[in-house]
Amino acid sequence: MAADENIRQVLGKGIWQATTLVIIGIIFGLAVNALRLDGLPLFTRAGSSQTVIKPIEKISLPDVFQLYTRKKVVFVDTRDPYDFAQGHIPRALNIQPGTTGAMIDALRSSQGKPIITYCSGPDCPLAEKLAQELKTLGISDVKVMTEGWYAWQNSGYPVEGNP
Amino acid sequence: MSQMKAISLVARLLIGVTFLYAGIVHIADPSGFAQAIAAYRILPAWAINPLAVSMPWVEALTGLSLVGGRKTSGASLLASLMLTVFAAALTASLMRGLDISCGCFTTAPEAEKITWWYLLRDIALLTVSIAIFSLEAYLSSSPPESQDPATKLKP
Repeated sequence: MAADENIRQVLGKGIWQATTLVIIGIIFGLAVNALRLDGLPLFTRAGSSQTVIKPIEKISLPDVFQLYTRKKVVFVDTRDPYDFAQGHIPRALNIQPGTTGAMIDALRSSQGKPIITYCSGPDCPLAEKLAQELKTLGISDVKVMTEGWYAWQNSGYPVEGNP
Repeated sequence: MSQMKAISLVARLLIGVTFLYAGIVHIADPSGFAQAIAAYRILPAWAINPLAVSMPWVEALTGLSLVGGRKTSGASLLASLMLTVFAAALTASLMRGLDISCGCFTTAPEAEKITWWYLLRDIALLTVSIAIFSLEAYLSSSPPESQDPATKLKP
């Protein structure tokens, strides 16, 4: 009987303590999310938050070049800074997945122009990963140029950098 | 008695460090964690981001409590609850044949895909977590004087 009583007491105390931990955790989480640069939007419009699950749209090389000539696009090169320095699409930004924090304001201010991410080629997952990340951060107009940097370069399109 | 305390300490450290580590990994990459949660296709879209920003902190706090031995009964109860939820999510995903990564200790989507081993690991941790709670109840049920009957005789 005493043991039963004791378990009930410990359980009661446990539930109370667990609730406290959950509340403190939620407060910390929301506060830190509000403060950090790459914080997630908590209340997204119905439908727009679906972008998390929707597959990322792909765009072909010729279509990308058309947008490039009209200067109505922001390119994001997801390769490492060394490869980027060797050569990239003119005016491209260099951002790797997981490092969007510092660049997010620049990307948000470019809204209105579609963002096109690319990596070295179709086998590199970084361009798609970054596009997913941007969508989660509330930037919806993002496409992936699957063919990647080598296809761009091999097509003889303009490049920038110091090979 | 002291043997029980030693077992409880080892168990607390095991679960505590595990939760603390997972919490830190998820805090570092909220967007990656949100994608990992979304990949399970269990929660509605509106719930994903709020959960992705708050759950890592609950995990980390739970881990910290267990490591530090504070609010142990609450933390072990919470750890058991979370591990039960993870087990249910893993089972549902495995049964539906979803080809997704766990998102447990890494947020990289290209990480190893979930298998029944992940469920087994979760259940093992759950068992230890429940044991911590039970030990906590047991240890607090033994009155302190029973540790040293000689103290009773002293005036």
